[in-house]
Amino acid sequence: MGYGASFPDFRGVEGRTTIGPTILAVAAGLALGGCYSGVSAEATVPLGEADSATEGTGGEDGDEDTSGGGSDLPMPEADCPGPDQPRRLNRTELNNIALDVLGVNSEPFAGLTTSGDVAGSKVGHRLVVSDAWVDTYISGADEAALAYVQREGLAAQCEGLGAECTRPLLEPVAFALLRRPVSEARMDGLVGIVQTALDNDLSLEDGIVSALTAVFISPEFLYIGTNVGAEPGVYALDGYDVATRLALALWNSGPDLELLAAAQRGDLDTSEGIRTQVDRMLADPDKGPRFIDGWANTYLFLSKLDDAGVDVPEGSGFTPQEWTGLLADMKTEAVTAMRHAFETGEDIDFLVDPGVVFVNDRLAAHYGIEGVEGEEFRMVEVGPDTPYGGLLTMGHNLIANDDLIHRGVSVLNDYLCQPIGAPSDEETLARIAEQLESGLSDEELVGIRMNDPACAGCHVAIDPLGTAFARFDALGRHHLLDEDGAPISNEQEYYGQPVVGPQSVRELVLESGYEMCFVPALLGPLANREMRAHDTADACATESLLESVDGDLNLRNIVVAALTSGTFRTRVVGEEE
Amino acid sequence: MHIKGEPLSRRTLLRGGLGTAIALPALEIMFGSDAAYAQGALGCPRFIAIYQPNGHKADAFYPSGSGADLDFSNCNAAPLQPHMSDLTLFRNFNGTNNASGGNPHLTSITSWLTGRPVPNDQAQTHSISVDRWLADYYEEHAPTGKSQHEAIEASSFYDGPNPGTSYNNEQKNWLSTDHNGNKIPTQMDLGAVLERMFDGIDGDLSAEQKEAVRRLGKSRIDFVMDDVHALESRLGARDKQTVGSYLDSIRKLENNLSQPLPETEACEAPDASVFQYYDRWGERIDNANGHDSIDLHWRDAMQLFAIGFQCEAIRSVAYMLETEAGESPHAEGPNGEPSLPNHHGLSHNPSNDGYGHRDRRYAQVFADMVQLFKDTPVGDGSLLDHSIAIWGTGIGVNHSKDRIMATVAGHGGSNTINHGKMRDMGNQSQIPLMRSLLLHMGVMDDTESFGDAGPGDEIDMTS
Repeated sequence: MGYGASFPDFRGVEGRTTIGPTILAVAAGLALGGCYSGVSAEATVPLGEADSATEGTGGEDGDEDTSGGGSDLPMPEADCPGPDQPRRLNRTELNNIALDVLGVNSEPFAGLTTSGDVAGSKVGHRLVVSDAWVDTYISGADEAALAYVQREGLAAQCEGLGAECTRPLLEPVAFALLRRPVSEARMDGLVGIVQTALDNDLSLEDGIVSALTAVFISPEFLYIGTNVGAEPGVYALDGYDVATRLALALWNSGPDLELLAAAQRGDLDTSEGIRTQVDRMLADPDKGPRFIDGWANTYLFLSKLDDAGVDVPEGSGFTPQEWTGLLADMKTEAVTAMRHAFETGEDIDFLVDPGVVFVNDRLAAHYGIEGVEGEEFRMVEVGPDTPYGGLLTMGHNLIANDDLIHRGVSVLNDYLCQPIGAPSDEETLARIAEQLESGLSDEELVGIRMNDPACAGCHVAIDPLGTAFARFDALGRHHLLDEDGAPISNEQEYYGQPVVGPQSVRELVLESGYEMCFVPALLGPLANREMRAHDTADACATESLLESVDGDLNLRNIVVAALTSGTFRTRVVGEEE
Repeated sequence: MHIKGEPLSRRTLLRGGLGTAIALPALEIMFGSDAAYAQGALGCPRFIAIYQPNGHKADAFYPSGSGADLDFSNCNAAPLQPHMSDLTLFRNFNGTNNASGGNPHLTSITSWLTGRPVPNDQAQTHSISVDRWLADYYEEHAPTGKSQHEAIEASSFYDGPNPGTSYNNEQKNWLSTDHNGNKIPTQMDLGAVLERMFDGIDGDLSAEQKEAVRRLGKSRIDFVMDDVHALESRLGARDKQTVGSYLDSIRKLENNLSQPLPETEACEAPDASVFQYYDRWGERIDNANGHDSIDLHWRDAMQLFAIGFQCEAIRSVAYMLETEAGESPHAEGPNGEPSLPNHHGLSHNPSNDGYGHRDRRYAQVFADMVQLFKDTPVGDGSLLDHSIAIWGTGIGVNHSKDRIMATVAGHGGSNTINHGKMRDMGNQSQIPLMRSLLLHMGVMDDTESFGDAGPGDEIDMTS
């Protein structure tokens, strides 16, 4: 039985692109050709040994060497390695894999808990599990496997022919899910599960579903970043792991056959090979858009709007439907702006100071921008007097940071790379309580904080930056006058420099080197590494990446540079905590 | 009757034949003695910890007086008064070991069940929490084949992540930690909890069919265990720690599948439809307004856990009313306002009556829970005889470490706690509290340590 007849993985759901015979032949070759003897530390090369590694990948009998000999990629040690972790796949990735590999579009993993899987995180310590999580996960895997087996009629294809008949049905699926060739021994194990079902008078379908679910339950499927050495150190990823990272980074899914074939050919050992795949992946009409969707959510933490959306703000006058719709528009605004910058070759500075807004009629009305009609989002040029434009004044940001202090802290943390911690000493906390209970205005409280040495150390930076946004209310609307009709001041000094309104902050951010904040926030999730702009190794990795683009801050170029960087292509095994 | 050729129920295959281990004989073994308290260390006292984030309004909470001579008029703890013979009210705990700094939300929630604050604001792993410690203990000493532990939250306001700032350490969003040091995710859907507690093999399967299903499940888990062993052989210590929680869960499945199937099911599962929660705020799907969701969720959860505890379908629960620093809207205000948004904000303004109003509502729910446990028979006594329930917090007034409240109810199978009092802890550290409870439950030897509390570090509950 040929793979072409039995393995429609990459056809996906009905109506999507059908993979031709060539690719299916590749699938068969990839799945069978290597007879890979399981993942092992030998699949990777610790740094220091890479220079002597042989070229190419796809060796036989488990002797693959994917070290990237002859690679034109930067040596990983040049990218200032910082510790990272293995991580499990997150909920979004699991649902996408079910869709892309099995053609199951029912989101079988939707039941996984929010607290175990927040905001599409791609960092190990955020992706936690429990017995309850595993229970739900296996249930989702079971649902996905059953849907696939029933839709493809796999049991009917082998009814009465014995368990061995299912081997060619299972092998390409196992290959695609495990993201590397599967050894004969492991295939024997899967076929053995089917045989167990038959030996116990259970149905062939039960056996096949159990075998596929076993693949899902295997930590080799669920976890990435585990194919490296045990000793602390820096390890170059092999081609298959690079393929996996690329797919998770750009598609929030597993690699397709073409990407796995590229890994086997050694194409992913060169920056040209990676770029070729990145171009192809981003051009995919179904999966390509996922990159910006996912990245915007991660970078801007748009799920905060889900929290805000629970209750209509008191006195706002919105109906629940209007409020929910407005929040959805604010999410769309952010994603649309990011997508525009990415697709039109804008520099990352565009995200901060674009001179345009992305709105539809509802959002434009909320912002007080006239002349916009219809629900469709469009780019609208705004003049210098318009307070809106860029991430800082987008509705999602103004609502998530809805007061002076949070807005100031957000600018410092997220745009100026100056982390500010919350006060913890009890004396300061007592003063905060007094201030909050005083009934004084923001402006008066700023004056008190500036004259209180216990507060001023941080608030000398926080308050001027927050004050610049004082004319935006908690819902993101702009006002020149307060409720009493008095002018609202948005002017203050930031370390001797006058800051007046959001435009001053935009300019300050760009002058301060926004890229040093932006790059770690981009590179970290792509490389499954927690990165902080002020961390020495992370700042070093950022500088290395920026050097590689030679000062070109084109957003797409930076993304490609991140995906070809040593940071992306390595895993750092840290010391035990 | 299951017909060959038809797919087995998904739930059956999910557990690979793992049937319910809820069996009346087990209950009788545990609690069938003459005295309800008699089992001590040999029994399995149930444990539930209910965490209240953002502290409480101390100046309005406690009764006047001291010891057992208390006047509950006009205090927010008033609903507890009828149950004082079964509970102890603590006041003026200190939240940590006084040595730790860092974000007060972070140190408070991380230290409450672990007896040890996280070492710094960036820490992502921690030591085991008491709820999980108990579950591990029972899995070793009195396995039932069921999950011993659940981590639940009634409402959520996920804080962070924001890699640029230490303020948003996600540990504020979790209450429990496993022995690998990894956070245990919480969940809200009580329907899923119920399903896990009471799942079992298809009732209409024959014994032979049940055994066949178990064998299939065993075959599947054997395949997975091969990968687990291969993975462990090539992971370093730190990576093992990260992956360890998942591998532990898989091992439990393997262990369960290695045990013979139980023959009987003595406990009837309650109506699942009562416990269906769907959204991340824990709101019942039929509760369109939802401002009462935390209270309602807590009440329903206690109904569920009372049954689960009674049947030994569950033994240890960590229940978080919401995340620390949570900003959920909550119950209606003191004068019937529709909601009091942003509870964290209220906690920064401790003179606000709305802050204390929540304490009173929660005191009522806790009191009702105590009554429910009292009314739930177990052996010759009640569930309350065989349980420890603690409602408390790790954070003090105005985000300080001072004046922290804890309320402990139940007799933990030992009856060694002298309830009926309010104990003024005089700023003594709360760190030894969990160790002290383990000692009273008879599951820990007094030479053992828990968290930062070692031998001699105990809270007096006997005088």
